[in-house]
Amino acid sequence: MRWVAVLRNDIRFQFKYGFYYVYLLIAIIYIAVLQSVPGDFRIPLLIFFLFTDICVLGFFFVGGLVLLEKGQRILHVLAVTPMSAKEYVLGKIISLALMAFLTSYVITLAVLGWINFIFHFCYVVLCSSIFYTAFGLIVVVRSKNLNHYFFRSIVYTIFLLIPAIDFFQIFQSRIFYLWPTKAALILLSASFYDCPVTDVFMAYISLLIWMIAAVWAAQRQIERLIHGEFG
Amino acid sequence: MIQADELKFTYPGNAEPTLKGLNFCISPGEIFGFLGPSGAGKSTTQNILIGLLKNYSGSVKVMGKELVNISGRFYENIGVAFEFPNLYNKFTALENLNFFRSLYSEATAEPSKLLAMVGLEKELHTRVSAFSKGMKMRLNFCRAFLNHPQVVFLDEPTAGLDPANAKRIKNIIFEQKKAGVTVFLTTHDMHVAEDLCDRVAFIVDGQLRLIDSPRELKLKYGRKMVRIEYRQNGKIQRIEYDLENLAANKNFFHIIQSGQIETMHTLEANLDDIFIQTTGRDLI
Amino acid sequence: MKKILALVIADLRNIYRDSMLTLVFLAPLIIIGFVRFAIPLLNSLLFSRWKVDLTPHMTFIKICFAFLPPMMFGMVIGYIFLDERDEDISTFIAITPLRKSGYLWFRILAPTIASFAFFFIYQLLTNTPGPGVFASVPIAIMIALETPIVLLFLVVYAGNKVEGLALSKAVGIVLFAPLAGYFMTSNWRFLAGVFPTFWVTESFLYTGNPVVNLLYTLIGILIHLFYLFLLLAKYLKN
Repeated sequence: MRWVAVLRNDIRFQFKYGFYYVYLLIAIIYIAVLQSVPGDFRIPLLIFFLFTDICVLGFFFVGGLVLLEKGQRILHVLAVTPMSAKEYVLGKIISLALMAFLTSYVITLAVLGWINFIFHFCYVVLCSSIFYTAFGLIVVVRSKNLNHYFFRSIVYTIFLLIPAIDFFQIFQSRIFYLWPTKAALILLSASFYDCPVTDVFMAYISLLIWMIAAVWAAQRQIERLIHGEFG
Repeated sequence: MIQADELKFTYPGNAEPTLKGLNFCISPGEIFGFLGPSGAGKSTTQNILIGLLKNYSGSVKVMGKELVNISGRFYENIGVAFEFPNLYNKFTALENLNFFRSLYSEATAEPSKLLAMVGLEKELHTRVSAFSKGMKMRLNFCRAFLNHPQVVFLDEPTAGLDPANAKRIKNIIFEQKKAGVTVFLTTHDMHVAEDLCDRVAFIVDGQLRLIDSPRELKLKYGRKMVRIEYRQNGKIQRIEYDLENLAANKNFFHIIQSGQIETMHTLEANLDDIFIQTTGRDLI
Repeated sequence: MKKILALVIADLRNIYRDSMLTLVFLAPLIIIGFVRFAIPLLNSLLFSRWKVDLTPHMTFIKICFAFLPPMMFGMVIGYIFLDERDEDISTFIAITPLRKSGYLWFRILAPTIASFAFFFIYQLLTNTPGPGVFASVPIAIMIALETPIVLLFLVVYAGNKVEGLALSKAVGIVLFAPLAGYFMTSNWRFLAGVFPTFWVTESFLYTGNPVVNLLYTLIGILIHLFYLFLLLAKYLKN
């Protein structure tokens, strides 16, 4: 059960780096804001916060975590322990997904007191957090420092935001259902409102495929990073 | 314990191979010194032996396993101390060791004992960021023994340490050897190699020039002479005699009996000289 | 002068190599583009779907977005400091003839000036209705001062780049202070005045009332300077 040890360490480190305090603070602010807006806006604004910040926090933090370990040459030592690249990736992904889930759940319960479709909610928060953390791992492997990391992510972010064309009703098409961002948005709405079953079903499949693909690619990239192919 | 046959390695994008066919064999419980100037291929060899670089050609086996095929289990029995400390600066010595400890499934050493071994027993709860460079080196060193490894790879283990701590490190290496641990030591410090190693290998430009025990090398490349410095009429005199007929050498006995001897040395070569002689290179 | 020039060249080369210049130029452009084109679109969408009209709040929304690039400049430079600290480069620069102070001032001043200039460009390109170029100067000063405040906040309180990231998340909270000022009607809203951003929007929104405007601007500039010198003193002490 080495990955449990790895996960426990990751969570402890993130606690020490202050992640949990920061997100506690952010949760309090979000709750205050959501409590003070008129009732009609509460759910759309909540979805906005979940979609643009909390589900993405894994991407934001994982770059720094890996760059720091790279800079302190920790990755080399980890490579000569029985820990595998898979366990390393799992530790990062699960710890950050857990943090995203806790924050989302606390905010939602505090503001609404209920979640209509709790299974949709858990699924979308966990899957999209895992997807974004894995995506961050893929980007960070070739990044030299934090600014380079964020710069390199711009191109990918633009790709992920393509369904905005649909959202702004410039051009509407079913093709956008293939995007993980669109799927996440559908499932976030489906957690609170009734949505067409086919939409929800497609979103489930799409998000799952994106998540598995990202985790698989992240694991391969981390493996290559550890074995020094990027120097 | 470690066996390399025609080991070659070229970094991706380089035309010239970094290792050009190395052959060596290290037996269990041996301290094997890998010596060479920087850039000769020492680190590359070590990185291959610890399974970090995999695209080599030829064959390398550690504990009987070809390194291309190793899995995570391989590392249960391997200990590595890199040249520069790799530690979580934000965490204490104990937290660092406990973290790495949790990665092994087999029995591990007690962190407090390891720290006591390198004289850091009082720094158990000190953050690594507050450590001096030497302290970080010692913590980094003792971590290599955390999992009771059968083979340890040590890269410049005494670099940057004061003489007392360097001696402490050397003693630990001897203790480990007595316990049956095989030690692969990379260094460019000939004195360390001379003190510690059962055998040394000289690597230059990706090729091994020589493998032998320091004692044999010193005898082979030295002159079989004894040099005596003694005082005669208030002046220092120096004289050298052949070792072979020393028992029959009347002049030698005469000087010994005169009671005026100040120094007396056999003229075996030191490893620095031998390195320069055999490779035509300085060890920097 | 020659030393400063060498430093500027080294920094520019660094910026070029890290594609950071692109980031620094691109991000404000994206923000301007978003405010200029996406927000009106969003507004009409909200109106057609939920009969919500943001038009009366447009000025406020536009000022809120003007905070983002200056804060981002502070973060980008702050991350450079933290990267260098993690890799022990800043101690190396400290022993070169330029010494720590010259290096520090340059690194802090350049993005601050950039933020100052940015505000006028932003105002122009997004059609933010304002009090005119001359009266905008105090607002631009306040917005420009957010850059060194964010930068120093990260450098002073973050032990490494990971803590720097966590803190920059926390910094984002100051963006909610203007909201409190804008939507709350009781005097409790002045509690949000501990955050410098609060005074920027307040002063901007009261340009019609010269006395209130002058008062808010003065308090705003003083609060910004207070944080700046507090952080600077903390930084220089270390």
